[in-house]
Amino acid sequence: MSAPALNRRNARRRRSGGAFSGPLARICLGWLALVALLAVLGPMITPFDATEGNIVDRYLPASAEHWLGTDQAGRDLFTRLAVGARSTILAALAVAGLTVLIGGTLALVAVWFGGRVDGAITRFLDFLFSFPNLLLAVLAVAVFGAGVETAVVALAIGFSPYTARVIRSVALRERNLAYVKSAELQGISGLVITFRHLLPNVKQQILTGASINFGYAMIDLAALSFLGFGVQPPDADWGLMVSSGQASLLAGYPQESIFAGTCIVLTVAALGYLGEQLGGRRAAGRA
Amino acid sequence: MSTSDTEQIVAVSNLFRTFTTGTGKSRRTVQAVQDVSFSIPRGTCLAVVGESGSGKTTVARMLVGLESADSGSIVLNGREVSAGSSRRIRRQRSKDIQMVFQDPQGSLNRRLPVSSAVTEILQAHTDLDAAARREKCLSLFAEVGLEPEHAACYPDQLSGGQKQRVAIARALAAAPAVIVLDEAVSALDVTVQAQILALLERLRLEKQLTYLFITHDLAVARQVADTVMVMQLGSVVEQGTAAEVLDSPKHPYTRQLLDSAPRPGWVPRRRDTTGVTS
Amino acid sequence: MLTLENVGLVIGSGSSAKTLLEDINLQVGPGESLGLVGESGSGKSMTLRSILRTLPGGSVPSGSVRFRDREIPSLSREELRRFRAADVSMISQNPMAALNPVLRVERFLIEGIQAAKPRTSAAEARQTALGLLADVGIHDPERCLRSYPHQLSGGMLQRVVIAGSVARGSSLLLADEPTTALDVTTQSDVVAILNEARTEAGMAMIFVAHDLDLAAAACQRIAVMNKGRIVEAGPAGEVLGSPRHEYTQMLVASKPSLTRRTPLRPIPGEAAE
Repeated sequence: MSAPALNRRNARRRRSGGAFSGPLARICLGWLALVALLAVLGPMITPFDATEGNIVDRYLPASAEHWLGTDQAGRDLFTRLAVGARSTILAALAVAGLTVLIGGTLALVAVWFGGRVDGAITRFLDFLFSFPNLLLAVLAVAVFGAGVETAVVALAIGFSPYTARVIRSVALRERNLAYVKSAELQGISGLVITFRHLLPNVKQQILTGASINFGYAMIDLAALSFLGFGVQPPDADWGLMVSSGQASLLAGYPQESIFAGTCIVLTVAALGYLGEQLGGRRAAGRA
Repeated sequence: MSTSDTEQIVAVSNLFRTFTTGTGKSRRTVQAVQDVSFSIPRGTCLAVVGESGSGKTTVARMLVGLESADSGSIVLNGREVSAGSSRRIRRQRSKDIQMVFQDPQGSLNRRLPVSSAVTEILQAHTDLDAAARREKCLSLFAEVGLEPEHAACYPDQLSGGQKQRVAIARALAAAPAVIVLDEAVSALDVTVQAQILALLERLRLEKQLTYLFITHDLAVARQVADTVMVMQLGSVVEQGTAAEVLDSPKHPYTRQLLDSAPRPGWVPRRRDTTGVTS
Repeated sequence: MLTLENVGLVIGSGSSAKTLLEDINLQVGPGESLGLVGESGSGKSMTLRSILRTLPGGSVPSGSVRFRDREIPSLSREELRRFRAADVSMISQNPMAALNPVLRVERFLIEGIQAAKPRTSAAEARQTALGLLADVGIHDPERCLRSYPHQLSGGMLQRVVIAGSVARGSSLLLADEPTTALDVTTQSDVVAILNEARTEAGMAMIFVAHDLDLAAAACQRIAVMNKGRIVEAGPAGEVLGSPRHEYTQMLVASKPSLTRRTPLRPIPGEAAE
């Protein structure tokens, strides 16, 4: 039985090894780790308050005390970035998670029941597709009031058709395989089969989709905050910082907008690249 | 085959089923199964032969409950089971009848060790605890000619024949009286096919199993079947003992099928129906 | 016309190197047919790929593949393209793969005819295509020409592909399990038509199959492959009637008989496949 043993070793290597190898992937991972660390520890390592500043200290340049300088209200920019990282990332994570939950549930229900249920869900998703996500979010804000919770839910609903479509196509292929039919024949419930067989086989697509959604969510959330529909001042948020930095920008102090904007761009790019690697590895694994 | 002294474990009568495809203008109905009746005495094998679109697979799917019939009756092990294909009905039916599918690749979840295919069934049908399920799984593996080491393997690590053995072990796990084999050896190499056919034959004799063997290969039908039923376009065109049907076919379609099967000394011929002069 | 001498193929290097083909010697002349029989993984498809030079990445071929007087392994890119376009036709298990799904059948055939004879007008080519379709046993060639691939059955499509190889005037036909996906009655048709087309056009054919009986009926000579080697070759009747090699004997014995129920003896070490 040496052949299966050998195969198993190869399979394990394929599964674990070379997930995110390559220098670019490592840089991306490093950046994300830094952001995560800031989000968790940020407020603890700076002595300043994120929302209260001293107007006397406005527009200070970078120094040993204020690592990145201060904004027009005299608040420490590093502190605001660190605290902002927390709200920005949590909100984006919430969008990504909620998207998978809504999209995944719709997709799996559609696949399991098929026929008319599938038709109805697919049509509903097409209907959602026809709305631009930001418009949907702005509409929701108009109805339910501004705030990060409204923005998160509205974006998640807007994103879910994309995720649902991908998961549906993969799960559908799996649904028609003989082993699922065989389990169905035993009278094992659809819920059990879905969790035991369908879900693990679409896990990869869910992860890839979520990481890409996370990036989009950050951009859209930042845009909403920028427009004043998301996080409300004086709370710290990257998108809000880009927006509130506008006045300083005109006054000749571009730090706030530049730092916040750079953080958004780098984080989205890193996530996008890693998500693509994840998807690419999946494709290579299939071949 | 006299019916008086043998128990008919499967008795199907006047089965009908239509499918509708497409919507709107392109909507069409297809008579997939038309007035199909047959019965199988316990411990014997009925081979259903026909080409694609003959309805043989639909009959098999209706028998196990993956598809419901429009009308007609199915009596399994003395119980009428025809109506519907709900979960409760399938669960009940799966203790009497199990199925082995054609594609060894799709028969197993590639993300789980192959033993889970068997233990899953044991969990659904028995009160055994995890250790006892494992024990039972290994004994089923032994019955189908697999080694205990195979239990921990993933489907990718097994050959097509070995995967089909696992699928057979899974079918045996619920201790059914009837097994439906839907082109179960068609995707296998001929030497492996011979081994699986030998295995099926051994199991049938040991466990008094009854087979419904769906195949397009008449030579395979000749090897396994006691009785043969030939289907064309949803209808049964001929049925009888294997010797009757395959040695002295009465229906022209059966004769055509037999003429088309490659065998030593066979000369491929163009059908007259193509009606072309070259 | 086509000669393979000591063809080998190794994939990987060092300790993980795997021999896919070893010491393959074959020969086919104009109008001749050779059946290549074996089970999955025996190397029969790899042999075809060696001829077309469509080998998997990382594999190292050796030996000589000679078509007419050209060495295929040493052809330049452009020469290889011309060889594949003009001299060889490939018929695969899935005829859908050979046809562009968004174009009508007529485009496929007319292009083929014009590629072989560039001076032919579209109308003439269409006329020729009608004749070819009639030759491969399609009743209503006019309707077939106007169809899209998905509107035709597998057997019809396989006929169209065969007509296409004749239209292009190929001199070598490589058929890779062309009837495996077809019903038996259609298979019989397609094999008969393939042979008619081959003899009339004087093409050489290599027919890959897993069914020894089918290959014997379709071809004059047969080569049986196992584990990357040719274990036995000779006239079809001889190989099938009195196989000399142990492996061929096993193949013949494993094939279930249509006329009698052979005792299925349990083979020792069943699971050791």
